[in-house]
Amino acid sequence: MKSKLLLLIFMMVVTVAFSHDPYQEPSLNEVILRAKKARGVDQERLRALVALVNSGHDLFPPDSTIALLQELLELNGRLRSVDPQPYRYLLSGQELLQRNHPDSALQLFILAIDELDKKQYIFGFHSYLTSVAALFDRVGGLQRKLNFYRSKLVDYTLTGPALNMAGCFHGLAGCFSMQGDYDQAFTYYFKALEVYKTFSPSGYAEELSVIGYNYAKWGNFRRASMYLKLADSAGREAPDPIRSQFCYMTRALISKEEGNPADAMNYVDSALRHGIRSFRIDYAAILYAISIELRLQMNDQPGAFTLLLKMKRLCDSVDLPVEGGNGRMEVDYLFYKYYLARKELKMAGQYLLKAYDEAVLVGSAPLQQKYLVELFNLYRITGNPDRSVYFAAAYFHLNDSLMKYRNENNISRFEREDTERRKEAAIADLRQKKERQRMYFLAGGALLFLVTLGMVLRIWYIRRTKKQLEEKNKLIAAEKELAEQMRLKAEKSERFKQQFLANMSHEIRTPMNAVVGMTNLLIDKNPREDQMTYLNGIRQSSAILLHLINDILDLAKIEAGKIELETIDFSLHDLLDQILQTMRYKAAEKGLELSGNVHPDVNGIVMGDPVRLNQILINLTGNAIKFTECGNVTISVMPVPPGPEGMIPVRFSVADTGIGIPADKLKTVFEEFSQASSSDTRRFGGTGLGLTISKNLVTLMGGVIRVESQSGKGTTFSFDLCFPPGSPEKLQERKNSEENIDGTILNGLTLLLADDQEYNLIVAGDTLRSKADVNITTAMNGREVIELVLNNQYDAILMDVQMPVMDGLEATRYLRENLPPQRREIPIIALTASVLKSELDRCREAGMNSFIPKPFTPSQLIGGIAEALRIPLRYKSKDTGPLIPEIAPAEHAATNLDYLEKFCEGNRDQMRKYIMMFLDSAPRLITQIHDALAKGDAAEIATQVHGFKTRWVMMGMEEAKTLASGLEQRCRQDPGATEISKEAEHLIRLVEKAIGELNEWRVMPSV
Amino acid sequence: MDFSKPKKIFIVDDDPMLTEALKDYLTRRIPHDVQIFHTGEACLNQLGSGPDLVILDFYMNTVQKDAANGLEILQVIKKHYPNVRVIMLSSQERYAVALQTIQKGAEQYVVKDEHAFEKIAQILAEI
Repeated sequence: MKSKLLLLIFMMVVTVAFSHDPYQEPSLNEVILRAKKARGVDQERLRALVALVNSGHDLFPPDSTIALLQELLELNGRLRSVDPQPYRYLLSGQELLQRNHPDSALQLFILAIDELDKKQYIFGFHSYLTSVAALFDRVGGLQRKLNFYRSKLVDYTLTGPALNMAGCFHGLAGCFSMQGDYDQAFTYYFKALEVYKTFSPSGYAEELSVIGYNYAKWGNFRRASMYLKLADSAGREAPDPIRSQFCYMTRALISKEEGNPADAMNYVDSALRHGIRSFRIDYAAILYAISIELRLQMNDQPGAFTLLLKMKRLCDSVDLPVEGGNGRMEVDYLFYKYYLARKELKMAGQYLLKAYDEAVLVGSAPLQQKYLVELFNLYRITGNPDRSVYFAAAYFHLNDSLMKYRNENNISRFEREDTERRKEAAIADLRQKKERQRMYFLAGGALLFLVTLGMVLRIWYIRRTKKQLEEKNKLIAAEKELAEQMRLKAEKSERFKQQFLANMSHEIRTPMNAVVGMTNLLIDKNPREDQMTYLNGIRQSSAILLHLINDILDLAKIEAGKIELETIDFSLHDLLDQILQTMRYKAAEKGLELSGNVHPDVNGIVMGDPVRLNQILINLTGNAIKFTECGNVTISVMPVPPGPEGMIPVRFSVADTGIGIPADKLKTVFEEFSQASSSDTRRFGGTGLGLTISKNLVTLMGGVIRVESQSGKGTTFSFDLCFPPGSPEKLQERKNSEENIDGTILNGLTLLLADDQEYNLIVAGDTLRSKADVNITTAMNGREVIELVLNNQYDAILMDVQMPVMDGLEATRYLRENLPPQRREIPIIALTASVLKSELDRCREAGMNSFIPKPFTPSQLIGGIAEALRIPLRYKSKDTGPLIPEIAPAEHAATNLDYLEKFCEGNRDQMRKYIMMFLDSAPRLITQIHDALAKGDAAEIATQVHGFKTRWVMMGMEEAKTLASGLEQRCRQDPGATEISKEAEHLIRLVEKAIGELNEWRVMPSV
Repeated sequence: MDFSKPKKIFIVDDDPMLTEALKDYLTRRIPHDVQIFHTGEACLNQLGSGPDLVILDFYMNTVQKDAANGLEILQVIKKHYPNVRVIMLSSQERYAVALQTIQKGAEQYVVKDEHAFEKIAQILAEI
């Protein structure tokens, strides 16, 4: 019984072992078995032949084996009466290969493969598939290669032997490896490895070594070495000199890249010991390349050169695959490296370009990329940035198309995998279809019911929400109407307020102007001593009156949101001195000590609104003095912990030893008209508006005002502000301009003055006549102005805005439209008491060039006219008031004509041409920037400023250029920034300065 | 490559100071025939006269608000007069822009800095 069972098992095993699977390659043993059965066959020879063919992945077998192969084929033919034609193709192909006709050989190989596939008899054949890969590389045509292996793979997947699939995988992997797409390459190499593991130990070892080589190429040397070791151990049973050579070559490459030249050289020698096979000359070329690079690394240039010549001879003699490219290309590249090492950059460049052109011809993307990077670097080193950029551009362009190519291939791969998956899914589907149909039927009925129910519910829900929406909409509409009405009301009241303010301003300031102006004139006329006393009294009183009026108007303006803070350079020290000076008398009267100090750590010169700051401090100081009977009042300016970048944070405080403020009244101290008690008002006087205004101003400046007080001990008011740092030069300039202008610059001009108030005409006219030698005509309304201008020549018109019959705006508009072209641009200056922005905008829109505010000082009048006529200002030498403690540095000019002079080679006429181009366009720039600022249109500012770029350069306006580019950038990136108006104003100032300087150049006598 | 021969040059830029300065610079030693245009269209109309070199500003938008910008003009030039060589001038230094102009056929891309005129003169000498 037992023995029968054993026999059964044995028979089963044998059957299984020997069952012929048509899709599995007949093993060596099988063939030998069959051959043994056949009569008259030399067993030894047969074994030798079979072993040879099995081991052969080389396409270039030595001559002797061709004969043996022929014998085997005949043998096979006899064994299986198989059509020997495919094998004859193979044989002829190999012979052609020997004679160096790779393209024809390849065609024959492909033919043979197709024939064998048709007959489904593939004996030891997969190795041809992997070897044909190398042939494809030699004849070129990556796409051909890809297509071939892809189509073969499809066939072999469905009905082929596993090893052939492996061969296809190997071929495909090679395609991707050549293009540098290691992702894909490794995918396929590992697939091939899987198959070889099961079916062919020699193939397995070889695939391992190929994977190691690819890792080395890619740069992962650790993995590369690992796989080479695996290949060695796997291949121990099937030693193969070619594989050994390949492994040594890879090891040489790794050692070279890791910076072990000695090891690399050793490996090269070991590889060479296996001899240079005539059929693996590509290995020889790679070994040469490695040796040459090593020699260059070790600075052995003569050695490298010798090898280069040898390699060149080798590559010239036959078309070689070297790294999937043309061997000659690598030679050129190595020549480039050689000449680069010798610093002969011109020769190096020539060879590199040659290599690159060839890489383009052959179509090898990784090599093109490699050369482009080198070209980019080479031109960068030789100082040729434009060519450098060109090659960088080509590199990126190539990268893009590579990405595209890879994506396309990925897509087609996904498509294929997708089709296969779908096939499987369809089969599974069919099986389950019947089962499902019943279920669907039942499910369908239930679903239908649910759906109908759902629909009914939905309709009901929609109706309900619709009703709710309607009601809501009605409410919203009603609210909207209400809001609209309220808005209109608010607008109306706002407009009324504006109008009121404008009128008030004008009505009050006009007579004030007259008083102040005439008083000044009288003082200038050398009055008697008693008259002088009265005049001083009038001057002081009008100053106080003006002060009060300004207070009220200020508050009104603040409430209406119409205050605009100035940003000019001023000195904190000066400010403090001024305040001390102003309040000294008052303090001395009461026997109080008044002192003030600016902490030395505080940067003295800042940008801000000194007038209003003055106002606040005077108010606080005045209060302090008022409410102190004995003791002292101290004003201090202290530094505080740093604020935002580049800003100077300062604390102002006014401390007194007065009666103090009781705690319960502290809260309301800043409200209008509040004083601690009504009895105080009678005692101390005052409008009660001062603190409110101060508080509002401090808030406007971005600070917070605080008060600390103790009844009977004293009070301290303080507030913190942040200023941007100021410039001493500008401060000096501003000081110079105050009350210092030399009126004689207006000598010889003919001016037209227009104002409906006689005394204003007198004031302006006399002021001018006292300071300069000018011709003045007067008019009392717009119509007179027009008549006069049409019939006479004037240099400039000064026109009051509000006049009866026809006001200044209308007159201006008329003149701008109706004057003959050459006179149309006559400067028209607005004399306006209202300095509200809306007013000034209207003036500008009407066509007026500039304005002088009323009341004006003589300097302001002269300055305004000079500016409008672009006459450079000149100052009378005089004490310029408190000087800044530091030594003021030399004034920087806005322009520097050195560049222009060089550019025009000293030709003054050419210089004049450019200067005039600047002067013609500069005023327009200023106006347009002003307009844009008023509109808040940052984009317009940027555009205007941008267009001026060349001009900065030509006129040598370095500061303006930097400022303009910063401003432009800011306008484009952060249009709401508050710095924009400051910077734009700064720029305008520079341009104005430049205009002045250039005009001076014009009148300078030529040297 | 005769660099002393006078050539026919078009300068297309909306900034009159630049065009004047460039014209003066280029004609300093050699009496080139330089024509100045402030819009692309004006230049295109005259292209038939066969200039050797067109110096084209990349960003022209200020003379006429809808004057076509430099890149479009370049494309038109290259389409109808592929032999005319074009240098692009620009105040921009962005690489992507430079690449675009060279891809569309510009000979060179010169940034408007202090060496721009020299570079242009160099390229001119090599034509």
